[in-house]
Amino acid sequence: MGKLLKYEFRKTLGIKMIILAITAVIEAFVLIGLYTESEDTFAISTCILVLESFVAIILIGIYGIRLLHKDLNTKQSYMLFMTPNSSYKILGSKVIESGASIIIGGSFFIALGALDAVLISAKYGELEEMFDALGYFFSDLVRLDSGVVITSLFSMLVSWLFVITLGFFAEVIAATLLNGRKHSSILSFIIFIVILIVVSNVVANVAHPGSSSSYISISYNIINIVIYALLSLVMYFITAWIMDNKLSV
Amino acid sequence: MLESVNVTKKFLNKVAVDNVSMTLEPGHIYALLGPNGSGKTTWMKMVAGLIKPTSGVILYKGAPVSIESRKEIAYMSTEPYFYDWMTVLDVGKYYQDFFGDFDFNKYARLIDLMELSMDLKLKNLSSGMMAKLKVAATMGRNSKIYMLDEPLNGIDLLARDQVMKAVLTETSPDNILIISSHLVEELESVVDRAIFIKEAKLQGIYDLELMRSGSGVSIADKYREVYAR
Repeated sequence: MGKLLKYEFRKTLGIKMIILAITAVIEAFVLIGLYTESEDTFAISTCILVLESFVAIILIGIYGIRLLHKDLNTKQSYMLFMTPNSSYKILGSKVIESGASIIIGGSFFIALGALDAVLISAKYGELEEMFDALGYFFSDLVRLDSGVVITSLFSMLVSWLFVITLGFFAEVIAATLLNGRKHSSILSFIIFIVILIVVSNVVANVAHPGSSSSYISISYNIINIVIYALLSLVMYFITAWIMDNKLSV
Repeated sequence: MLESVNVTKKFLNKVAVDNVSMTLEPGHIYALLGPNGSGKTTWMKMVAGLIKPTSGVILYKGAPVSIESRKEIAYMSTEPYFYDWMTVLDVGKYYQDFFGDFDFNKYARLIDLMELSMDLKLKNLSSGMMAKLKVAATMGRNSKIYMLDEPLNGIDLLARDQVMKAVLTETSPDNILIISSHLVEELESVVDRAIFIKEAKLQGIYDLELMRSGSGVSIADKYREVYAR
């Protein structure tokens, strides 16, 4: 599995380098705005940086699904399926790579945000006041506490992992049915969207009956984490079984 | 011993391999012959475990081909399949990482024989160089079965000589070597058995020596006889 992981990370290196380069450019504008005291530059580049961090995390996940599409529908598939590795290992390495990349990417952007906050405070000496203001704003808005924040982050991570395993499932189903023919991308996208909508509605109505998404509690998040972790496992095992027993590349 | 038992593969409404049964024995070099679309590649991919048969079974050492058999069966496809970010060295490292029977020194020797170098980037390789690299990577393994799908495709005469020399010098007497090619006459001096497949069906397996000594028929003559009718 370790060797498979090594190559999965290598395959996604290009997109990560591009994201890193774009982030570096935006961060440079943030710092220029900060130290030249150009409010417009600072405000616009900060907003773009926040937006880019979300887009980057989504992009890493989508790119992982796109890579599997390529690994199933082009001759590159032989590089994986000729090797004496089971589909459970092949798919597992892809899931782990996606999950790890999201965690590392998310941590990187959080660390960058924290660094920028420190630099702002060093420049203006108002760090404590800033965090007080932010804490007041968020606590009023979503009744924020550390337990909710941590479980919300885990919930987001596990939900996103489910989205990726669902993407893998849809790709494998389309590749199995169409066997590399045209339109497999369209079919996999349709399968993905349909299942995602159905699952989201079922989870919302069955697991959280009567609750509103504006009220997020620790128990709400824990139920989400458990459900999406189980669904991710189910998706993983079904997909790997199909790959081992039905898929031709 | 490799056995194909009533193997059929259907793709939607097309039958790619139709009830093919044959037994291939170690110590022989087989030419797998047939026109485009006759089912040669599909059959090879089923042996490699890349395609699942619709019905029938392929047995290696008496057991259906599986992840385990991939450790001893080396397959080389017609089309390039390496990752485009790789160098020739990366290909060797990749094979070493995944195939226990891969011998990096053997690979390096073959790369040298093919007049390639380790630092070459794959995206810069010509089709002929890529064909030679595929052979070097595949024959770099010490496998029990080698299957080379059109190894001479798209390469010039001198390169063909290099490829065939590499293939023949790197196989041992207990191997099964299967080579598919359109270049029937080029295989005449190399193979000792020929498998003819026509329109997804097996037409027969012939011992070339018996053919030559018995009826004075060459592999090319037999090819014309099978496919012209």
